[in-house]
Amino acid sequence: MRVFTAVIAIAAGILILGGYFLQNIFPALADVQTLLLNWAIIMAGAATLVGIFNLISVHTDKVRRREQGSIYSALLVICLVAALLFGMILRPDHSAMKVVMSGIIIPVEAALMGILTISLLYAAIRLLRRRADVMSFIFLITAVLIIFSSVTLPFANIPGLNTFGRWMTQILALGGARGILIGVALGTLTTGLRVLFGADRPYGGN
Amino acid sequence: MSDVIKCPVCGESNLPDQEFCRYCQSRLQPLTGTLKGADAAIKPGQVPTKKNTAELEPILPQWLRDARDSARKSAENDAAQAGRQSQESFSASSTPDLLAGLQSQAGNEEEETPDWLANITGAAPKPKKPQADSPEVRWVELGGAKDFAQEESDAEPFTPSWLEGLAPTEPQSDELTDWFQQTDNSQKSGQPEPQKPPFDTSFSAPVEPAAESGDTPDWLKKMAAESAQSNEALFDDSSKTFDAPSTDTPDWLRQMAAEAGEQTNDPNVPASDASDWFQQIAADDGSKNNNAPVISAGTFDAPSTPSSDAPDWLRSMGDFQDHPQGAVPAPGAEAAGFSEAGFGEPEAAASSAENLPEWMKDFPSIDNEQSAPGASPSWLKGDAPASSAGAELPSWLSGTQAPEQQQAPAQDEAAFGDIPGWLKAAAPQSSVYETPSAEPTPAPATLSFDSPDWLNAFKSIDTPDAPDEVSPPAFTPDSQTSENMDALFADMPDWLSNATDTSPSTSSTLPPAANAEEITPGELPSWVQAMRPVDTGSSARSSSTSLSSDQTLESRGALAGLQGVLPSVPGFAPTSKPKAYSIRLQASEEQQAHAALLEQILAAETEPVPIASFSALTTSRGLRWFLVAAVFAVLMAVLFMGTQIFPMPVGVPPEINGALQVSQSIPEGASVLVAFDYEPARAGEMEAAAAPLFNLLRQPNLTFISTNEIGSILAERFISGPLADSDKSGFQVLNLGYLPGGQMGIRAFAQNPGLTSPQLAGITSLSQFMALIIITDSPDSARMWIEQTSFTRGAIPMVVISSAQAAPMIQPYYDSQQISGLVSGLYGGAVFEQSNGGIPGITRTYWDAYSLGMLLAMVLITGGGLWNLVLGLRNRTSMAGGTK
Amino acid sequence: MIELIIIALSLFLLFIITLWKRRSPANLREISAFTRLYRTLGLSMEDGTRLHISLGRGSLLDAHGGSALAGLAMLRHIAERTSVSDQPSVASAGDPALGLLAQDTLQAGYQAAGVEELYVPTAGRVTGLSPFGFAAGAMHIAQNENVSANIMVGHFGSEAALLAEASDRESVIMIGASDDLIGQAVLFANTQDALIGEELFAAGAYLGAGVSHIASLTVQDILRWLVILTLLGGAVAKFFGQI
Repeated sequence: MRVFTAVIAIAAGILILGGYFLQNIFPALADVQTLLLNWAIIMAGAATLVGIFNLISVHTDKVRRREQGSIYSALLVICLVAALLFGMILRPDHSAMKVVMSGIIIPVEAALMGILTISLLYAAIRLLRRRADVMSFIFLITAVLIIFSSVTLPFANIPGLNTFGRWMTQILALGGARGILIGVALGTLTTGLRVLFGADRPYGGN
Repeated sequence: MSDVIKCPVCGESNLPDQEFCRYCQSRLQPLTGTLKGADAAIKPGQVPTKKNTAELEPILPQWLRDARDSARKSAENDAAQAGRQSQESFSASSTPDLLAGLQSQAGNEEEETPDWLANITGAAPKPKKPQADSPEVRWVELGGAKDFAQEESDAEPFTPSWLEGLAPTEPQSDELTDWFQQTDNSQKSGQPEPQKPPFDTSFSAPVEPAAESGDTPDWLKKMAAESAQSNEALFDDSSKTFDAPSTDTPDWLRQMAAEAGEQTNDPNVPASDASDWFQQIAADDGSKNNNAPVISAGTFDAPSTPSSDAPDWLRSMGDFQDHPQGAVPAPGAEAAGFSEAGFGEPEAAASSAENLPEWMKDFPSIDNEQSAPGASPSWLKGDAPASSAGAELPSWLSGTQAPEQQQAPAQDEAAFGDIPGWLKAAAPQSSVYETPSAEPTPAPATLSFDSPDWLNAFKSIDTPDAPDEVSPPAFTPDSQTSENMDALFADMPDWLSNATDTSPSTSSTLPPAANAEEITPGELPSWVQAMRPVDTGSSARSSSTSLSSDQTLESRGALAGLQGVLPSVPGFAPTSKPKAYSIRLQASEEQQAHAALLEQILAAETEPVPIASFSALTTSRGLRWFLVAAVFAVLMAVLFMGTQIFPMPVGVPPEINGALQVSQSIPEGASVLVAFDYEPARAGEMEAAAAPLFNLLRQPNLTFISTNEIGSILAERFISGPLADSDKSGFQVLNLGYLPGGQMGIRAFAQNPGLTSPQLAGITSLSQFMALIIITDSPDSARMWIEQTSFTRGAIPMVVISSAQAAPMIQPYYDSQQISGLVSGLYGGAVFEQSNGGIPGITRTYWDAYSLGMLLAMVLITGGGLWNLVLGLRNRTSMAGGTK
Repeated sequence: MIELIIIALSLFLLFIITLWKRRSPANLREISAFTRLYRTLGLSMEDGTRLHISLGRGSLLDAHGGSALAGLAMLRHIAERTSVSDQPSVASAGDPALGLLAQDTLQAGYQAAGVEELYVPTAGRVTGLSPFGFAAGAMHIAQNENVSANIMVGHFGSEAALLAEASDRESVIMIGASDDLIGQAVLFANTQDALIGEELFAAGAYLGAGVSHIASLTVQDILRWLVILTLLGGAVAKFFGQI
């Protein structure tokens, strides 16, 4: 079974890759690539349903076993099922769904964003106590400068502050970010190659 | 309860269908098939399975079959001849009084006496059972029973191997009679008979039976009684010493001990402290000390022989008491088969003497006084005055210095090493004592063929050439100092011990013993006989070319007929000094460096690696609550008051200017594809940033699509929110909903939008849209849209509206002209909003709260960071001080 | 075509170096986060607590699939080691397909440890489909299921701060690695030892997942040097007006 899944995965990966680079030479590869992509999209959509059912099963199990915080799990399951039913029946453009979105989903997420703001502030304040090194100082100074350059002062603007902030963001920070992203891309490349040729097989077990 | 199986190991009951015991997991059911019973333990006395290999006979080569046939015939002839000779020797030699007791024993205790014992004791052998079990043991090795019919007829069932040599092939009465007769004669004379060969005067025949004992054979009792009678006059005062024999001692043995105790001179012997066997030793010694006839020592040799639970040193000591090396018999005996006694026993005595108590060390030394004075330790030298040792010994032990005892031969112990002590008493070693070692024993003129095998071995030494070998000491210093010899002969199997009888003859220059043929062919497997070289002459010739100069012809055993195969070449000793090897390790510097590196690596492996950053920082709920309170209070206050203190940003960045130009260039009623790819948490920021741009569009035909699950609902919220609040009317909106597949879904959609979304029937390419607007809070989402649509969108403008956090990562796409404009965050929306002709937007509403909140965050981070830096330094300083 | 050349070169190097690394041992620099992770594995077994491995919300169908696969490789190794614990590890994911693979990977780890019967399918969970929804569900695990360590390996954005916040409040060890710049910035400020950049992809090599992981690190180094040389060469050429 594992060999079978590995063969399928490797063949699909090579065909998709060939469709990217060799479709001018082998036009049939483009059609195969499109077909496989459509299959992948359908399976990704089905996986979403599977993920939802997994979420329901996990929290239902918690309720059944009366674990700590099972009341929240019950509330989650009820809200999930209700939103799913209303969305399928009423469609997203229904006013009831807009109320659900504006009255529940967005405030909850905004609240999480507010908590995130406090968390980031807390972490930045405590950073030098946790790790008082050069990188931590640079980190905090950069953060303060970017914050200061993104606002306007009530009485008088500091000349060049906004320009300095843009320079830091688009030159220094972006240069560093590009370097990090190149490294991440190389890691993604090698990881993808390992999976593509079966060295790593997260599918089908070992 | 027949349906319950009782475990043979633990005794617990188990169900019959269980294969293993549920208590001890022992197997209850035997294995099936051919393995059934294979795992059963072999019980003592169990007869090995007979395996008939006779069918393999035909496949043997012709020469081997011929050899086997000839060997079989010759063996039959030899056996027949030996039988005739033995009958002639013992036909009229039985003594009436002796035979009377033996016959009664044979008649009454036939069931209790094993056949092999009966053979020795003279009891009439039981009728031989046809095909007894013991021969089968041999068949396992020898092949079919029919091939060894002669051996079967001679073999006695259950005869120990060590006694096979003792078991006569002829009727036993005659030889035993002969033994006893000669022993009786010697006892009566009180002097050894030098004319007789030592081994022909075998047993000292008892005159009167001793006290009745159920365990003691009559013949043995008689022997004990006779011995007691012989010394009765001298030792009548010592009878009290052994009045209360040990309960562990067999009656017959106690009887013997009692008799011997009567002969002891010293009545002060602490009988209660000494074990029975030791008491018996004392009794023997005492008897010898008083010039008792030698036969008495031989008679009580059995008690003096240590039992199996006696320590080795004492056992060997007891042996030495019985067989002083000074009483070396005729050298022929040494050559014939008892040489192991001469080699091994002195060593055993010497080594064991070191472990003796101080008071006991002198005990065996006296026994060995006359043995090899040149090489023996001082205490072994014969010149050592017995009085010196005797001064420290108890008086009863000082009697062990009797010269009679010193003359006892030492060879007997080896020959009867495996024989129980009580049987040794019956063995002809007593007769050995009759022969003083000082007098060379003449070799017998004729050999007695009716003697037991072990006796034949004695006789075999009595070759005419033996006297030449008498003069040198029987035990050379090398042989006595060879410590390994003791263990060698102690551990040697009996069959090998018999075989080693021939080794002295082979190592010497003696010709093959004349009576070598007297060893019954049955002792040698016929298959070995068959493999013997038929032509000894040719083998001799061939062996003459060997490297060994020893041309001794092997006459017995498996090597019979071969010459020079077991050379005892003095030249084997190393001729040069052994090369000295340094124990210092020879290692080069590189190897030493590698070893040091390896040690370093191993040390690093075992050394715990401290994790410097493992210290956990405790949480601060107070700081959290302070931050929440501060931020919440400031922002709520500003939003509630609706202040406009902070001015809107001025200046239009290029990317925003590009977006502004695109929005202004889109014709009225044009189709615009809008992707909603942001999270609900950032809906406020994204809507504030996107609303000013949409306010600039003129009655566009908007198509919404989303690559996240909730994007379509956010699109509906945007339609009903910012777009509805704008003054622009006539928007046509098509919400395509969720586009699954992420990057691949975008690519597939870009290749053929109509195929992916049926609502876009007729639209086969992205280039059919007039503009593409991406609203996202993620640089990855923006990158996916930019990269996956680059080859299909053609020249249509693309504008990205992003959150502030994603803008730096999207900016390069604007710099590389892959996108036409970029509006990022609330700041970009505020800039864009100032360019849309004064249309009021939500950006202004948020700007004061945004600016004040950012300044508050900056202050908190700066002040709090410095405060925590101080706290951290203080903690580290205190921790460093604590560790010091 | 240059992309194809890069892929072919990477594949060739990966194959060659994998064969080479089978003969020569790896020499890896010490990364404190992995050292702590290695120690955390043993500690969780000792004190009867469980590990929470969060794989993030990286989809296998986009560029974040690499980080998701790296997280799965780590999950496979951790699952094998902690499968016999009284409190087996729990994996959470913010992507449905990743959640399915997390379950499969957990089962493979149990199977490799010979205790497949102990595997519980709910040990691999999809806690939410949006970033904050996923973070909220993962926070619940960290706070209520006797977790001694939160291991975040995958694609995380700013929502990683919520998980870090939950870990900090519960005094739970936090080890984070993300391929997202925002997530890295958040984790840098919120965790003791953050994995920056491509260190995320070194997890398998440091945990002994196999020779191919070590070889892929070497290939990354080689390719990184090639990129550096190309960038420097391009800059010099640009400076002299050759491009």
